[in-house]
Amino acid sequence: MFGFLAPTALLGLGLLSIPILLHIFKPRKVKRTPFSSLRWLRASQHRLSRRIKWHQVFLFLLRAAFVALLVFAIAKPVLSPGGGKGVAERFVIVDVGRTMNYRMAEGPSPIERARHLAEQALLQAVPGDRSAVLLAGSQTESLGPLAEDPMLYLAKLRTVQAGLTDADLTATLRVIPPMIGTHRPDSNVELYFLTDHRATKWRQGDIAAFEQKIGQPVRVRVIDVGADMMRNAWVSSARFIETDNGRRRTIRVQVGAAGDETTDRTVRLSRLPGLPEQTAAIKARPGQITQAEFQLPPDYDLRDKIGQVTIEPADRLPSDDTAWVDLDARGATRVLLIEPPSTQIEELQPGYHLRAALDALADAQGGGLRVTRRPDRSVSADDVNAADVIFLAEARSMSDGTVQAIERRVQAGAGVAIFLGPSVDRDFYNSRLYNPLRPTASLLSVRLKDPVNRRADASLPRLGDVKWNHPIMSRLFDPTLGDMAQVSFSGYYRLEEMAGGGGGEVLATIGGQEPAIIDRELGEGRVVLFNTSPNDAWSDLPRRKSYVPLVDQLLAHLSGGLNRRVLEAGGAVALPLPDANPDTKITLTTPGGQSLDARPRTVGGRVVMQVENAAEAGVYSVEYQTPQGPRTFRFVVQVGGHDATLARADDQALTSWWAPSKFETIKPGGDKDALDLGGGRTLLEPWVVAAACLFLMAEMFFVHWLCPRMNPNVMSASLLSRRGSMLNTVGATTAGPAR
Amino acid sequence: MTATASNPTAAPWFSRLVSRFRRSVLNHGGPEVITQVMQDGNPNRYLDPKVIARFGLSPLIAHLVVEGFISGLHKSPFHGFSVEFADHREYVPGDDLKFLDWQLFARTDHYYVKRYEEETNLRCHILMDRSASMAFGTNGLTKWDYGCFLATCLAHMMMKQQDAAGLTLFGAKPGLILPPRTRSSHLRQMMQVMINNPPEGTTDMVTSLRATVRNLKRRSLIVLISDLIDDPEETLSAIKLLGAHRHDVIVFHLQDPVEIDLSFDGSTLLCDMETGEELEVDPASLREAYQEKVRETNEFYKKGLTGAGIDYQPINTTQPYDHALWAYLQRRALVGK
Repeated sequence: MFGFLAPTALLGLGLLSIPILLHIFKPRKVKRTPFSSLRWLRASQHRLSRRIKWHQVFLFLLRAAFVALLVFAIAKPVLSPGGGKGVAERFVIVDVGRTMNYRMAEGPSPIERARHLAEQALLQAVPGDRSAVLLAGSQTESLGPLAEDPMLYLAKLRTVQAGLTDADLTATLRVIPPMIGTHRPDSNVELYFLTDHRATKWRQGDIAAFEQKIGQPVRVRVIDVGADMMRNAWVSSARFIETDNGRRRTIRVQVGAAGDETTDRTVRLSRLPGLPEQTAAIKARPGQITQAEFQLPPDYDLRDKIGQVTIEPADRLPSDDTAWVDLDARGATRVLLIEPPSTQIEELQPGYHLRAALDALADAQGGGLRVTRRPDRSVSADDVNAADVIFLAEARSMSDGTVQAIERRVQAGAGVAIFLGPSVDRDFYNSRLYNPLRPTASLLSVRLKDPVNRRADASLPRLGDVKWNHPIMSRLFDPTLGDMAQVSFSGYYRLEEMAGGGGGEVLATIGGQEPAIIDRELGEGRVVLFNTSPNDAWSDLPRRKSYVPLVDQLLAHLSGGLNRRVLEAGGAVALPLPDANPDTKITLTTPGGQSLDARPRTVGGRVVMQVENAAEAGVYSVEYQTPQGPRTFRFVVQVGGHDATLARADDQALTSWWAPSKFETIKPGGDKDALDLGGGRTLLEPWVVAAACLFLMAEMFFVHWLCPRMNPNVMSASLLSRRGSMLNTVGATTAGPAR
Repeated sequence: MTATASNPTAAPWFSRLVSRFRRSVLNHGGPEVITQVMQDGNPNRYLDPKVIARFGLSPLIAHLVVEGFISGLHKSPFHGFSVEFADHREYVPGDDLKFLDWQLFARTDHYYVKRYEEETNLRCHILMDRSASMAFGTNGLTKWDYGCFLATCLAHMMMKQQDAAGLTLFGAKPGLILPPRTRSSHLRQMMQVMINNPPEGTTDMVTSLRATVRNLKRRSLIVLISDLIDDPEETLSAIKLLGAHRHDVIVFHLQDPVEIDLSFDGSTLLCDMETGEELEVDPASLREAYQEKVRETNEFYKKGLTGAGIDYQPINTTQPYDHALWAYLQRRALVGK
């Protein structure tokens, strides 16, 4: 099939009609002049007739051919004998995650191969197809809209580099439907993923949502540019742990490994002022976490100290061989857990599961979370005022002062999560936490009616009507492995709705009847009500795999996103600035020494610093102004570790995820590293340009070599000497063209 | 082409800009050809000093030119040369000593000058080529007008010294003939004839000159003013015929500079003014060959005519006629005629 990638350029062929029209319609150019006598002229030359000489026609054809071929070249002709209808919407998605910088044993790195093969994929476009290039990192970047001429993207494609972030390939699917817009008739959607095909880069939920939105099967090709066996060791976590009332200080480093053999590595702790470097030898075993610990002196000043942990020697993916440990607790999210001291058996306490989840999250965030426990009847207003997030874990009752402190704190921007349960004092909740005189200003927006006991039922009601698009629930959706929808309830309260609405948003129900989770704004803060116990007394929620992620999401929601989770390169950063004014000037310096633009923002009554994209991993420093004077602090951005395992994706699983769309994996190999998508498409542009040059050379040859025989004025002296007198030459030949 | 009697250098700036644009863009360059003789209604235009000055035909102060020739700057070389002795007259101071009859002086001891029959009655026939090709010209002056200026100057010069001058117009055949006379009114008549009979028709030099020879009974001075555009061989033989009949022949060969150089720009359709024939030419491509051809022809005439004892003077119409005449008269004076 022959066609043009830029067919509108063929309109340039209309230029060829201009000389013809001029010749036909132009007034006679030749000047008519009386002359005394033609006697001597007749002796000098033959008549030049008005008929077009054969050489003029030939010259015109040569020049027309040159112009026509140039126009064809601009229109980008393509020959594709193998077929293709030319109505494909082709998306070339290049993985720019950090694993694409993996140093191969031989040959180019995955990102280099991906660039080269992406270019080939673009050049094999059939005329009429539209192509676009997307870059898949932690965020999706598009090089431009769908275009019929993929050459537009080649220049940018050749400069694409892998970053320091983990890649989310399926996040790119969200931008594809809006890019396509209105479907062309009979058009097909083709996706080409150029990636090292690691399992962590694919999300089934995104694929399902995409297929639902696109409304037609697509053709998916994964071009695997990674190695079959990729070996890596990485710093899985590096945490500062303080135990024994601060007398024992440990930096615990966990190292993960992937591959097929155990390797000897050294973990080095450095960059702690006043302390010597420490090393620990480990054996990095694939599939296992190996731990190394470093002790710190109990009297070591931890303020503003950030240590660096490095695995040596560096391996083929060195970006995750380094991590930083922030020993300074300032800026951590403060959680107040209020629970009744009902039993000494810790596992039976109402807040046990919640406490365990919070402890796990505190560990994972490396000091970004500080949890304080208080019994419900002895919690003070100071405890409340010092908290960013408050959990009422089946609290029975509290003093009026405490309740008012909680109300004020929430109004000022803190978040409260209220878990009910069999131990709560319903009258206290309905009279103090729910204020009938000011229902919209009270912590509870609903009244508790009678509790329901469903233990005797044959089947327990399950969590239903889940709003998966709510920030608390969104990351918990997984149609295959998610288990939030299977939470069953053996007890709950019937709730009385507040008259006139305003009770908040119901995020899920119990068996489609009573609200299970209600989210509500209160002043600057938020209140989330769980119509279940914090432990497994009334539901099996705390035993679900989704429980800890749920608590993590809950913390983020209640703290306004300021819970200080691990900051990863490529992501957004939002950190509170204590004592700062809303219009304070912020100076942010990257690990590389550059200044970044950081804006102050007010969230939940606190001034926070917001950075859209912290691209570098390492230690950042912040300086800002307060009424008391300038303040500085440092924070750490780690390299994303999500993809560190380098586990290859399961093609069978992906095939089932993409069904009914056609999914295939291509492994280009060999020295040529060529990609054949079928069709044998050939760009004819260089050949057409070469042909045009040949015609131009022929025209120049004809004019300047042959015409001087007719045009004595352009003859060179050497030619004159060879050819004899001009009279003989002129008298013997026909008249030359008028030039 | 439009006729213009006005001085082209007086065109306004806008017209010059337009014509420059036309020459450069529309390939309408080249010399401005005129084909119509002067039609200003002035019967004395060929002697009018203002007209002479306007065309640059005489760089000297206009009306003095002719007078300068006449009033003794140079004695006219045209004087009686008839061999018919008539009688003697007594010598008076100032007479040319070469006409002194020394034999008679020897016998009589008195000085007598020979008088010849019609010694002061030189008969000059000015033959003007009236073919259509003489109406060609550039720079605002046709060959015909130039020839008329030249003829008038010659006639005036002769009449001033009591010689007779006549005019014969010819083209395809002999045309109007004014016999030689000495009266000043005859000069005005000659000018009137030239004004009233502008060039037209073709050229047949042979027929015309042969007829002229037949009409000339006495030995005369024949001044041929023509562009000699005819068969060179036949033209030469016809002119030689004049000389063979013992007439003193002078040929003024008038040529326009464009006829010599073919200085047209771009493709041009040339129209023969005598035959009406048209020919499209590319002047640039054949200019050199054409110039060579013109040179050859001029050389042919020069050799043939001078070899026959006939004076041949090629004249470029951009050349002021008094210079041409001056050069010619000097040469004739040197020759001693």
